[in-house]
Amino acid sequence: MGHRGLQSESVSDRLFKAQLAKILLALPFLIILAIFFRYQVLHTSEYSLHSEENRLRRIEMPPPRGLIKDRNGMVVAENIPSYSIELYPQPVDSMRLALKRLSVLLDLDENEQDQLIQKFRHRRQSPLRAATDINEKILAVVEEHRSEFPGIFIRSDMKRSYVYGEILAHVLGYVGEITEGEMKKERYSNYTMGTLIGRSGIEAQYESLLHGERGIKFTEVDARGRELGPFRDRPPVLPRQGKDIQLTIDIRLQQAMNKLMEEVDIGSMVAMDPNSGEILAMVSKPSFDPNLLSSGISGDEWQKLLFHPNKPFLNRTIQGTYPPGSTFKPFTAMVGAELGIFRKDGSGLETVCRGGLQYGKRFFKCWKPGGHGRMGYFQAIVQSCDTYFYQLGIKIGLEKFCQYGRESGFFAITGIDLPNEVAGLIPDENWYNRYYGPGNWGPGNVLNLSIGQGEISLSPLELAGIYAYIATDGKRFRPHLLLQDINNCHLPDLSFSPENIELLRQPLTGVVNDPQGTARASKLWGQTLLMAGKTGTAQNPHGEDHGLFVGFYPANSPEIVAAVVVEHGVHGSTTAPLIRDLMLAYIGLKEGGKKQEIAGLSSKQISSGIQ
Amino acid sequence: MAVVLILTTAGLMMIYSADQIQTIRLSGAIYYRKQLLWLLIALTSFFLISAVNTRALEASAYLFYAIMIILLVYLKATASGVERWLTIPGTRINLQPAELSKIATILALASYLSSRKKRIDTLKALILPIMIVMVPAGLVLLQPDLGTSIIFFFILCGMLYWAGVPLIYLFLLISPIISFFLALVTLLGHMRLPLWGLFFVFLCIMIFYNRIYLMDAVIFTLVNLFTGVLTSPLWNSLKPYQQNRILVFFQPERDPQGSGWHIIQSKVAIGSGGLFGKGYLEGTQKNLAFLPAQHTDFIFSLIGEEFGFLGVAFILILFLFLIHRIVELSRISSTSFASLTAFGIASLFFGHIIVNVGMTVGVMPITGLPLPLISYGGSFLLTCYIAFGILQRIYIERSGV
Repeated sequence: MGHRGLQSESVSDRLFKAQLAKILLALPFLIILAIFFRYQVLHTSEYSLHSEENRLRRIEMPPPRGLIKDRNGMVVAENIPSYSIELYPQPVDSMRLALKRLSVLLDLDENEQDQLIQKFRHRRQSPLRAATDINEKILAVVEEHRSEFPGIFIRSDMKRSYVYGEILAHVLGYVGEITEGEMKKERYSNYTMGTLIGRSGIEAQYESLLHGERGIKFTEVDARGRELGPFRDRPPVLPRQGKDIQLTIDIRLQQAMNKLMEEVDIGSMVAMDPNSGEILAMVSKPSFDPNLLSSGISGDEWQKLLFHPNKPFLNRTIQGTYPPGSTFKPFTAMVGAELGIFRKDGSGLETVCRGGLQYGKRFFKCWKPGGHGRMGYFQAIVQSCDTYFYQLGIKIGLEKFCQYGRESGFFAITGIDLPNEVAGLIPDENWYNRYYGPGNWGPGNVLNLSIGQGEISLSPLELAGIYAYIATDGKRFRPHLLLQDINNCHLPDLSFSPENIELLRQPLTGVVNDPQGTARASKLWGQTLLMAGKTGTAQNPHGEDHGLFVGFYPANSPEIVAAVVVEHGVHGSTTAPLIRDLMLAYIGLKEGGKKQEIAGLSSKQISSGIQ
Repeated sequence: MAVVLILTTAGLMMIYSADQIQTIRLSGAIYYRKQLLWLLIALTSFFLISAVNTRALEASAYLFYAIMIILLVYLKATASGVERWLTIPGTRINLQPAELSKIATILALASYLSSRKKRIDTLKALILPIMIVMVPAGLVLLQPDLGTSIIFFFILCGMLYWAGVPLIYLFLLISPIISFFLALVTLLGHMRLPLWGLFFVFLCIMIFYNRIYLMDAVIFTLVNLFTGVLTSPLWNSLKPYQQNRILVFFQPERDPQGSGWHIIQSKVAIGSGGLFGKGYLEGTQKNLAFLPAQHTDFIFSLIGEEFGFLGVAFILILFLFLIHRIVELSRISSTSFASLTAFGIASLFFGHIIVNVGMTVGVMPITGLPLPLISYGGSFLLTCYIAFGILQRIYIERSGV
């Protein structure tokens, strides 16, 4: 035992030391083994669950939106695939680098890159969307050079596509991605991030029908949140597509109407079936391209549209209100008949028009400077004599006039199934008192109101509603765009007696067909059936007067009522041909002989509309 | 030796498994192949070293030690930041001097302790051996590599014990660390009890009962008192990320996405392995890259996940057996230098195993210490095989009892 240094130590000492060391060294091993036993045997189930959850990601799938079709089943709004480029969550620095690499391809400037980085900082756990709705060329380049863009992946979504573009923009509205603020609302509790939501028009009105039900899929993910594929043990819950809805719109008539309105800068036209309230076509000018909005419009372009002086987003058929001008005279005539001013044959009030009427201190001019001469009920409407209606207005009186106006409900919203309809206005004494102050206005106001001027205003749809009422001798239907049982759309009758309404048919037919009629130039040549209607001019203190025309066809048993307003269109007689041409288009579609012709015209418009 | 080979094979298997990730790999390195290459180098060194006489080792121990110290200082002086690598000129082989310095320190300490005639039972006599270990440990700590410096502490305690230093002295030597630890726990208020106070009272009783030299007793008492009192300012002087590391050690749930992530994911991997494991190459935590550093620090979690408790127990028993064999070897070795060296190597392995495995279940702080023979890492594998080479030589020269 030649041990140096440890000589004092005996062999048994050393053995004891070694045994003690072995025990001391084994002890921690046993403790650790016990810990492992605890984790792996006693608590294994909870850790297994955790491990499962670790790699399991619940991904909510937004449902495809329901399709929108026209009354004949033509699809007007559909879903098409769109591709976006996203980047997996990664450290901010490498994210910045990845964006820089992508910037050449996606045309992102420094500012946009910074904005994206800021966005990513807020949501570090979820992928960052670098570009939405990329075109096929970029898609191909990215696919080809995938390895050069680490952490990139291409996501395919559905985007909304509006087949007819601008043509049906105001009816359909458009969609946009749901915002985080909206997601918090109870109403949208089952919506997922990135879901499209109706922002206006039918898309907004029937959001609950069109949306459908989201699906859920379970995918395996790695620690960086990259999806690796479906999770074997958990089948996905497939999303349920929203309901398809069918509109009352006839897209062919809509196209024809749009074509007619091409010349009009600002204005609107609406056509409906007076026997059901079904809207057949509805155009507002200027329009916008809803496809631009559904595929992510740039902030600048959005601002430009939003603040455009001609307000392209305004659906003027329901949101633009105008003094109805002479188109309102039939209402005045109806009130007169109700008050017994006219006999059953229309006689009872006659006047001589010498170009106006002196009432109190003011001279109320007729639109015809020389005057109409001797006027009765029939000719006063046919020639739209103001003097005659001033007289009638005086006889009716402001109070009665306004009372009938209010009670008819013609000035209240029609209840059409579109959001944000604007009501018209019928003033009364209280209104004048509030507006001008008591004593600052006189009973002479009724003269203006009776020819549809002054403070009175109606939207084109409300105006069409009045004529639908007249055309059907007093039937009332709520105007609507969703094709449905018309029994749901019946509105209660008004107090006007059918004979008094019927009295208007002859003069209104005369407006178009009488040699003296203000719209005689718009007579349907060669048609055995006649169109009836009424011209109107809305005085516009800010510029040229607005031209109006409301017509229905056929005059004796009307199937279609249409109203048009052309802002700065000067006079109703210049706008009447628009309605005439619409009626011709309608007749053509109905008779089918001209169907092809119109269809041919339509297909050209479809292709131009899509671009 | 068989045990060594089984463990090495197990290590290679697990590194191979760790290579098999389903997810997209960012770095393309295949560790398994690299480790095989390292094993070749390591085995060569094993045979070379085992041919070297222990007397020659003893003679060159201080020289080797000095070279390592110079290397560490050189590295500290030249490298900026956390560079720990030394590239052998002309090759692409990177060495970590810190790993090899463990062996150098063991040899130097063994050489010093075996040359001492008298029994070491005073603090004064302990100063030099402590210094031998503290110099490299301090340099490594500055790198900064907390894990490796902890290993030096294991080596110191183990070899002092084997050299016959009374247990009470070893206890006193560790006591400032325990003091610090308990004071921290008390400070952070994780437990209601003033643990540090209790420990201090216990320490005083121990000192009194064991009749330590008065001078030593006073010094130890004061040192403990100081650490206890100074913990608070020391804690406040730590950088927030350092504080955070310590806090997360106590409560991984504090920061499940950040610092606590490793521990939680490691526990999940181990726990979900169950009794039998998910099967080789089937670990989902690993496959999906939830496990951090699965080739190195957390390779044991991977064993736990894929082979379950049985696999864990198997590996741990092998390790325990290995350590027992080394302790046995140090008992029967012919010279006290050889004996001390063997025991130092046993301490080295023991420290690595306990700290690494303890870390995977959250009972030890995350330090980045590799698991001997199993973790990926060339320098450490080389160190291990050099150690085995020395052990093999000691075995050859053993006194034929």
